[in-house]
Amino acid sequence: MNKYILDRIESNIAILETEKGEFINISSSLLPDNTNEGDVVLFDNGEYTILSDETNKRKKRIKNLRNSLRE
Amino acid sequence: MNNTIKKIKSSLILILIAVTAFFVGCAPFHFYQISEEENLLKIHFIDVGQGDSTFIELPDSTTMLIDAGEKSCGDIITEYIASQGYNKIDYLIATHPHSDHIGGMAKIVENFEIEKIYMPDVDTDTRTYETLLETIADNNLKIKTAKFGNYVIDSTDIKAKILAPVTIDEDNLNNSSVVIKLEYEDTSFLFTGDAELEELEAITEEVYADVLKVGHHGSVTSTNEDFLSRVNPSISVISCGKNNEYGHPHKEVMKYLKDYETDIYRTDEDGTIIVFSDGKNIVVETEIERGSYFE
Repeated sequence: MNKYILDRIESNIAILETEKGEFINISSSLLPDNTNEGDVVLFDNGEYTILSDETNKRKKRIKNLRNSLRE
Repeated sequence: MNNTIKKIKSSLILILIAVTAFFVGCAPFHFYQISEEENLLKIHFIDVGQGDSTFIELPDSTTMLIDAGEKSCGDIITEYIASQGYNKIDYLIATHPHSDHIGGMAKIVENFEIEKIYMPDVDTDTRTYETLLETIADNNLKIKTAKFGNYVIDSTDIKAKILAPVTIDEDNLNNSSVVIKLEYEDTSFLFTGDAELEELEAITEEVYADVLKVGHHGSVTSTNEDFLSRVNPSISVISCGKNNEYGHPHKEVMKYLKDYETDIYRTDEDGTIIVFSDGKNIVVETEIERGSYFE
């Protein structure tokens, strides 16, 4: 079981950030169709699924951090 | 007889003048002389492999850095800027938070004195981006939101204006890229990040520029014939990695650029590319020596 965050998709390659902050490339067809940039995905039993709750938690935390830095 | 000879002579002189004028007029940009060292604008398209990092030395010795490649490039970029004699970045611009543009930026914030930071009003959730924000916070710095129509620099002979994003696309960070047009007297430069055609077409301001940083590493998403004719660049620079997995620059874009007859430079073949301007003329140098003829 591994968690990744989608950084971006280039043509048909999805670039995922690992839990260590490194990057790996996979075929974008392996991800659920509605995966958005910034979504946390779980790789389990050969399949990727979107973890919405975790994605939302991260979004909120980062948004707050960004807001605290606004000039 | 004498009159005929006189006529032939003056015709020959006219032809000689016309031919000379033709050749002088057609001399490639980079053969023009650049005046003294001072008051030069120098734009370094640093070879960071697959990604962007553009370091700009302004004529008044202030500096701008647009993007910082992947995380592994933070040290290379630091060394490069230090080797040019600078320990301060006056204007740090993150065009958009993809790893090939902001990966190395936390290192830059740690290693240099930073004056102002600009980012588009969009976030992502990666650890890479979060680390960058945390590093900015740890260094007691703030982030200015890059808004189109605003100037990053606005003085008599130098202007750097934000032309985009006109609208934010939260589901497509490329389309929220900060697009900046830099003008130094009679010369102009357009930096487009990874902006795709949808974003570029929404720009209402003049995008004409002598030098174009070709969007999105030469991907078809970001260049077409219409946009090229709007910019009308005599020099186009592509920043991408050797044998990258994405096919950058795409064949179609290379065809558009070649048909447009703009001088093409690319970091995967030329290494770091430096563009010099004295406000009137532009000269280009490449890290890797080019062959005796251009493609």
